[in-house]
Amino acid sequence: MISHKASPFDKYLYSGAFYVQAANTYRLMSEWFDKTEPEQKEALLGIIRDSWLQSTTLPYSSVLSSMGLPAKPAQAAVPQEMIDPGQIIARAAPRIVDEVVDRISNCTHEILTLPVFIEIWVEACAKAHAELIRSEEFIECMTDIINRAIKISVKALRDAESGHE
Amino acid sequence: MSKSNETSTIDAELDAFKEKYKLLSEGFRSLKSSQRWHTPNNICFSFESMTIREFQAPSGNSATPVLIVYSHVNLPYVIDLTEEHSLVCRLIEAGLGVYLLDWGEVNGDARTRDLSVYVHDYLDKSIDFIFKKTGVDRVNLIGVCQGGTFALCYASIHPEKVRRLVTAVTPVDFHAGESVLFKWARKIDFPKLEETPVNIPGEWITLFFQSLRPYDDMMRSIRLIQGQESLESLNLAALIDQWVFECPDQPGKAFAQFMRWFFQENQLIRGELELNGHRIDLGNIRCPVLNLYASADHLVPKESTCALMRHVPDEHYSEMPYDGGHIGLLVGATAHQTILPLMAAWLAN
Repeated sequence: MISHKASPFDKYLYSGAFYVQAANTYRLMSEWFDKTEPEQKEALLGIIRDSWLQSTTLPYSSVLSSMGLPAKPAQAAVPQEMIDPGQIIARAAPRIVDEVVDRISNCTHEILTLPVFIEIWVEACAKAHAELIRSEEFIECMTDIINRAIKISVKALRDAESGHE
Repeated sequence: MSKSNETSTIDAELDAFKEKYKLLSEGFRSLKSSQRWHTPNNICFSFESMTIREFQAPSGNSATPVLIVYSHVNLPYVIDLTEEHSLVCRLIEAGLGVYLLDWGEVNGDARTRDLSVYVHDYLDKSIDFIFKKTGVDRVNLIGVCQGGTFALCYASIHPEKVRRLVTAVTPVDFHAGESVLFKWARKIDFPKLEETPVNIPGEWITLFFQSLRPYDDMMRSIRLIQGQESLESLNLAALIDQWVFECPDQPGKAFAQFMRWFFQENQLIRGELELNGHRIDLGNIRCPVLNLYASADHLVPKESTCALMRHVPDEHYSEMPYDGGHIGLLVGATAHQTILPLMAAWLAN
C-alpha cells in the first residue's frame, strides 16, 4: 500500500491535475458548439459532476480519516444514522452543471478560451461550495461527525485512565 | 479556427502549463522550508510552555516596547515572513521595541489548563517581565485574531498596564455577521470536551481551515503555477503555505472553554464573561484602541470585530479598514504599504 505524507504543497498537485482535466474537457467543448448530440453533452456534464464529487469530498474524507472515523460512513461499521457527507455533496452537483452550462451557453466560440472555461468551472464550484458549507443539513452532518470524534477521544481517554487505576 | 488548429493550441497550452508546474515544483524544492523568522530574535523569558521573543532592531532596541499577542490557533511566525511582509519590521521601522508572546507547544499537561491561565498568568507575566526589562509602567499591545480577544480581556482587567491597544481581525461579537466558523461552532459539543478534555490535534484544525474555501485556493494555485513568479514571490507563497499547514495542537479544556464561552454563548459581548473571578467589562478599557478589520474577512466578519465600537468608550476608540482578507491584513503587500505603517506610527506616537 502506498502511504502519502500530506504536504503543504499537495494543493499544487491537485490543482495541476484539475487543470489537465479541465484542458481535456475543454477539447470536448468544441464539440459543444459544433454538435448537439445528447450523449456528447452528457459525457461532458458527467466529467463536471464527477470532478465536483472527487475534489469536494477529498478534504472531508481527510477530516474523517484524521479523526479516526471511516472516510465512507455509509459503507463502514458505524451507526447507520450517521449521514455520509458525500451524499449531500452529490446533491449539489446538478446546480454546478446548470451554472456551467448556462455560462458557457452565453459565450461565443471565440471568447470561451481555456482560461475562461476553467474560471467558469471553478467559480461555479466555489459558489456551490460556499452554499454547501453554510447549509443547515451539511452543518448538522459535519458537526455530528465532529461530536462523534469528540466522544471517541473522550472514551479513549477514560479507558486509558481507568486502565491505569 | 479549424479543429486541428484548436487541438494543437490546447496541447501547446497544456505543455506550457506542465512545464511551469515543473518549474514551480523545482522552485519550491530549492526554498529553505525550515525558515521560521525573518528578523533575528531571542527568547528572553519563559514560563511553563510560553516564551517571549525579543526582536533585534538594527539600531538597537527602542525603549518604547510593544507586545504582540498572537492567536493560539496558528503559529505566530506569520508576523515575520520576509522583509517586505513582516509586521515586526514595520514596528521596528517606527522605532518600537518588539516582543512576541509565543504560547508554545501544547503537551499533555496543557489538556486540563483553564483558559484564564492564558490571560491571568501568561499574558500578565509577559507584561510584568517587559516592565522590568524596559522600565516602562504601561505597554503597547497588539492582539491578532484570538490574541486580540485575549488582549481585550486583559485590558479590561488591568487597564492601568496598557498604554495603547491595537486589535487586528479580532472577533468581539461572535454571533454577528456571516461566518461559517461561527455557524459550525454553535453545533459542536464543547461542554463535553470541557468536562473531559482531550487536546485537539492541529491537523484537524488545518483540515478544517483548508475545507472552508478549497476552490478559491485551487484558483490561486493555478494562477501561481501559470504566473512564473519571481523567486521572492514563490518564497513568500511557500512560507504562507507552510504556515497554513502547521496549526498547533489545541489545549483541550482552554479550547473548549473559548469555543463555549465566546463562540456559543457570546459571553464577552454580553458582559457575562468571568476569568478567574474577574468579570470582563470592555467598558473598563481606558487606553486608546485602534481596531483593524478586513472587509473581505471570511473568518471574522467586519460586523463581529467592529462591534467593539459599542463597548469601548467613544473617546478611546478608532478603527481602520483593510480592503482584503483575514491573512492579507498581516502579509498582503498593500497592507504593508498602507495600514500597517500607519498602525505602527499610531503606536509609536
